[in-house]
Amino acid sequence: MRTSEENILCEARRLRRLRLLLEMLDNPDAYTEQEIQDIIDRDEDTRETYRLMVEAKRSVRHRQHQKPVDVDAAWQRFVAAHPTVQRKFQFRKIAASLTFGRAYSRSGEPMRASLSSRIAASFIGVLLASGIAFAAIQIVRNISTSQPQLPTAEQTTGIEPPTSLSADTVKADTISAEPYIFNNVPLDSMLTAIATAHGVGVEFENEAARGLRFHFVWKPEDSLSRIVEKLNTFEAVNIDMEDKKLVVR
Amino acid sequence: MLEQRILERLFRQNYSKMIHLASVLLGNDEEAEDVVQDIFLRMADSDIPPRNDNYLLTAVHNACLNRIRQMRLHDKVKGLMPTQEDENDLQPIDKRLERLDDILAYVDEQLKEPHCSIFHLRFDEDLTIGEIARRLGLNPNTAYKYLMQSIQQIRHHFEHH
Repeated sequence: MRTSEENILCEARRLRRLRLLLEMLDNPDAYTEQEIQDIIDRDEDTRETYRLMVEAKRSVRHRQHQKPVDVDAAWQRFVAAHPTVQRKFQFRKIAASLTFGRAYSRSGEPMRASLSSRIAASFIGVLLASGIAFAAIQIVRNISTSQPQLPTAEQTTGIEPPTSLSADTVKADTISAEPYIFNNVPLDSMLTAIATAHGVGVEFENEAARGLRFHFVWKPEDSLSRIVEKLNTFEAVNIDMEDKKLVVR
Repeated sequence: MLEQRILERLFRQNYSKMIHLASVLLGNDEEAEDVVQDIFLRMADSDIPPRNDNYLLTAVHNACLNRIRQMRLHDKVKGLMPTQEDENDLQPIDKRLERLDDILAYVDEQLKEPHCSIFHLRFDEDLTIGEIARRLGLNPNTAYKYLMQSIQQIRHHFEHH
């Protein structure tokens, strides 16, 4: 049994330990890591006191952060801070439009295609599945005239879908952001699709280059400069990045 | 990769709760946003959306604890962060947030003056004991004593609840 004197001493020692904890918390830079650890872990009582202080601080933060959050602004910050995510989404949309004849504007909204171009796209899809690619190219050249900077039905015909599933059984939403293969596609169409995904324009100083056809693997995670670098390895191509546009010389 | 409209819907539905939890745990708005954005970034790359909202809160909680673990000890104690694993962290998140509400309700309802003011100056405004003593015109020893009494009172109350 402790005497009352021992109890007083014990309480005095306990208060001294707690005081030491509070003093350390007021000026932790005056202590080494070991000293800090020793003070907090001196005994169960001190550890529990520190734990309670952690909870007290969290309680205050919990109350301070009750104000409503601007989720719109947060979403915009998220998209702006992670352009690769945005690019991947753009890539998916463009890949979908290339495969299924759906076109998207830069803002990401689907664009209205005329009935004739939709029919053409569907028809061309069937032709593609049948392997009559060349015939489709000719047809689409005659039909598709509008929508600059957007993937046209011509691209649909020249590009192999990344999957072997038929177009009408696969929703555009289910396409993954795996590399997209441009197979024997004119540079004009291919570059427009890539530039649109990266939010830049295309200018052809060398008109003859428009019709050059390529087999090219487009990886969504590649930066635009990396893509340009890869394209420039083709002998016949000279592409420069200038002020938010790709210039083909 | 998750479809954009699904990701955006999840973001809009859950961001407020997630950023709140991260801010409570980390005490730093920028870091909290970083944690939440990281989670959505990883989600964007996955094909399957999370099963429920609790999954996202648990992800925030775990990510915050990881960040705290990586902090220097000095920074931990400056921000009053846990220095070791806490068994309370295993409790459901909503229960823990309820407990935080209860602690402040207890402080406001049960602590007498000047204890209540000293508590708020220490934990709301992060003042040192010396600064609190000057602000309230007290002897620093008295301010220490009152703060310790408050902490002990809260601790004993919640040990029994």
